[in-house]
Amino acid sequence: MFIHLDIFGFLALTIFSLLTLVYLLVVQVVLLRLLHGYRAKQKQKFIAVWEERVFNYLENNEKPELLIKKIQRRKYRYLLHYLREFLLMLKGDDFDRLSALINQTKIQPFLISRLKSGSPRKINEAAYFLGLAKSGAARNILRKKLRSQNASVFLSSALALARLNDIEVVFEIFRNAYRFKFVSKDSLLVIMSEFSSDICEVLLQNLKKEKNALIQSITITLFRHFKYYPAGEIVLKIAVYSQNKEVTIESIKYFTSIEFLKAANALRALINSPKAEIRAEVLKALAVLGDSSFEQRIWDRMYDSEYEVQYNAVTTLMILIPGSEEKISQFAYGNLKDRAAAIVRMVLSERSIKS
Amino acid sequence: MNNQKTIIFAEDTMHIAQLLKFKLEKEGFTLIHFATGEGVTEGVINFKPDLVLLDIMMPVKDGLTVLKEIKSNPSIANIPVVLLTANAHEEYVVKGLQLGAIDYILKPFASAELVLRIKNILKMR
Amino acid sequence: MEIISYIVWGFNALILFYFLLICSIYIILNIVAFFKMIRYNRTIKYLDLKRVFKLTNYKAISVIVPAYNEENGIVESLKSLLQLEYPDFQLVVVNDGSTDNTLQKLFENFSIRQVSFTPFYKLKSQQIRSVYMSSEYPNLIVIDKVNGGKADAINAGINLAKSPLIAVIDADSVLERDCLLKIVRPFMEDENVIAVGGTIRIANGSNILHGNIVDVGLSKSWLARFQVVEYLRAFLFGRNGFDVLNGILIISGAFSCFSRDALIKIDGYRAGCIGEDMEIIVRMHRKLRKENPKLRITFIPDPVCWTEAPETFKVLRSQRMRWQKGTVDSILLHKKLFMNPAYGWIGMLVFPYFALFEMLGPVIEIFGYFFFIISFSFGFVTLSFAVAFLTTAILYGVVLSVLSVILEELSFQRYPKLSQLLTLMAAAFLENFGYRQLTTWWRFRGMFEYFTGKRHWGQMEKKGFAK
Repeated sequence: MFIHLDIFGFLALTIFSLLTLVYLLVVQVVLLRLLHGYRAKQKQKFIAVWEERVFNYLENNEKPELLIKKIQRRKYRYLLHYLREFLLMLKGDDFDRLSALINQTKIQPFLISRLKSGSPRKINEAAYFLGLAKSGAARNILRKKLRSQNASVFLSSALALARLNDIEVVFEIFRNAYRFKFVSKDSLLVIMSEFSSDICEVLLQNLKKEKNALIQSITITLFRHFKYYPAGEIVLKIAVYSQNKEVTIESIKYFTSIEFLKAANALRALINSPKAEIRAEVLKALAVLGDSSFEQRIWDRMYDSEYEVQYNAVTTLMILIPGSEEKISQFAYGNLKDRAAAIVRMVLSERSIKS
Repeated sequence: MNNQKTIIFAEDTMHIAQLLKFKLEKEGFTLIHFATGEGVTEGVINFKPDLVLLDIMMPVKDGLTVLKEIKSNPSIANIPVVLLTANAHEEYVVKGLQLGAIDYILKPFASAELVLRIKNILKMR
Repeated sequence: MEIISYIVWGFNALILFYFLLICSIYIILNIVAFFKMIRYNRTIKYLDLKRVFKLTNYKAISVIVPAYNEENGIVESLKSLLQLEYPDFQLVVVNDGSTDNTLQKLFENFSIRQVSFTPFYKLKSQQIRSVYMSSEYPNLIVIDKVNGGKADAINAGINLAKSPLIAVIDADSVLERDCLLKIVRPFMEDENVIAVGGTIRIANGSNILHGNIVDVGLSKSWLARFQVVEYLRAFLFGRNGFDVLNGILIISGAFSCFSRDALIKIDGYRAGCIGEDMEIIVRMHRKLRKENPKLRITFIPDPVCWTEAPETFKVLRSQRMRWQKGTVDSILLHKKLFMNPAYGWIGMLVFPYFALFEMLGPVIEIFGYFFFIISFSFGFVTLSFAVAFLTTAILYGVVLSVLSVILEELSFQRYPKLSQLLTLMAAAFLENFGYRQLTTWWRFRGMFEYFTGKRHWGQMEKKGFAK
């Protein structure tokens, strides 16, 4: 015997089953919350006991293995997450002693076995801590993980390898990053800046033939970050020909940071760029890299349509050309109806308040 | 004579704060800890510590603001202030030194070095 | 007779099915978008992108804060705004001819001094009296102008803002410290983005210290709790889905961010408009996206801004009536978009959706309830229809509300205590029995007043965060 259902009954039934589903979700979410709460309490208890042990361990010469023996395997993760802040913010002896807690104990095989597991969550966590502790033993497995189809696994292994300073994989990271939509310039910068400054030499060799604007701009940003001088000439060539705004701006910033005076000529060409951001950046750079031969070109920028450019023009002129202060205020207060002069008046009064 | 020196420190990462406290107390200092920038200046006024250790990036009120408050209050302006900051934010250091901080320590740091620097500053006073 | 009853039956069935279909598409769209977001957040979990904060070329942002009679909260608000985490931002406070001591307070607390000024752009606004800058806070600028309303004040701010990106906030919004870092991401990732909105949350019951959210809490008032659920639903559930279609039609005025060029091109905000925050977005779609369909107006799901919700019926009623009038106003002003294939998804789907559900929704619902009660009491409808009607009208709402609380729990987990979660669940369930009908009624009245000529703004009373 069938239950008689008309179309409305069917509708009602659909919605009721949806409601049941939602009810089950609610139960699940609440249970998850309870579980999390329980774990957080366990973790707190763990830290209450272990904080002092870890601090004392930092002071004495106790073997790491002896300390770790006292922890049950299922509580390793509590210790790892507790150590996270320390591994990030400490260096020297403190760091060596703490990373030994991972590298010279059973925690390392524990993490490596998780790194080999199939769950991205476990892999990411394991890769993160192996990287933080600079566990060289994980290098080969991490390298394989760069080919993973999962974006988070790729990123976490790349980050770990960067912390291990595994310079051989730099370009493999770049190449693989293209497979993922989520991997942005920022994420690549975070990863690349974790390498040591040795990375610059490799990047410089590559930059000579690199055509990709994103990689060019990351490379130049890293040169600036590491204050790497030898790349000036090569970057100059790129800055002149690049059609990419990011690349140009990054190059100008890099020249300023290493005070690369040879770049001045290139700036002469860029000062009239159609892109306001570039003009503003050029003017800022000229304060460091320019000389008196730029005077007229900078004056021309007083009539720029962009306040930021005008502001930088006034500032740079004052730094670069002695005595220009007077000339500028003559210009500003001598042409009361001129728009450019009005803006320069604003720049002057803004500057006088800030000094 | 009470020669125990007092240090007020503000640091928002809890475990690091605990470690600093442990290390410095071991050296015989009395530590007063704040987890945010809120109330630090008032604390400095009340306790007149021998030194203030300030993290720059903190919730509610950042370290540089606290520093400004301390230096603009004549009754506490002479208390030495040491800044603690992530090396990614190096340019804050210049600002901090301009505002009157006596020294700075970049994270990641070595705790032994931090203790030594603090001791040296207090010795010079 | 039989034919009529068949026709009635068929008609009702059609409407119900249509409704269910739209809602189901809506739910599916949202859930897909939601999981995409969670996956993204998990992907970057261990990266800590803030570490390259200083290396990245963040575009400068001017944050515009229109202020009208804000003497109680303005100092606290600005002090916390000045502490936002961002490498290059400027704070533009616009004193919109306040009649209280707003400007005086700024003088006392920020050591501002008058500067010479020339507006960079020519958006229409009331006359600017003077411009001030602070010697203590180099990125603060104060504009004092003749009163002209919020839209007018924002336009004056845009005219003097120097950054390529413009964020507009309410003076009493409590912002998350890293909100600018978050709101700027879409602009950095895609050159075609012209406007970005963020998620707004309700601050009532939270512990706020000097303009910072210290502990997230829930108000004791059920009226506020219902609104918490309502906001969760609107932001976690509504916008994510529309974003997939590039169909964001509203960005809340409590926190929005634009490219300055886009604002200038459309001549800024429309002064005297009731819902200026919706109107400007619709106008951007209409004018700019028609020219260049690649342009994007988008939204980030992260909570960026906390705002205070009314806790009394009277204030809530006037707020809702005002919002409804704003919606109607924006839709009627731009009715050209309706079913206009030249505007793509916006014209064919999103705009009609808004016209039908947001504008006419209350009318349809009120008539629906009315019709249902009449026909039920005259015996026109079968029991199964009655059940279907009620489940659709109420239980479907329960599903959506509870689901939105679950989405919040799965994504941001801003409510730390289990008891808060349970309260929210309860509120999600209960809001469908009374509260939702009440707001529908208010919106209906807002419509009515709009068409009968009372287009005044309605007063927004403030409880204030001042401690």
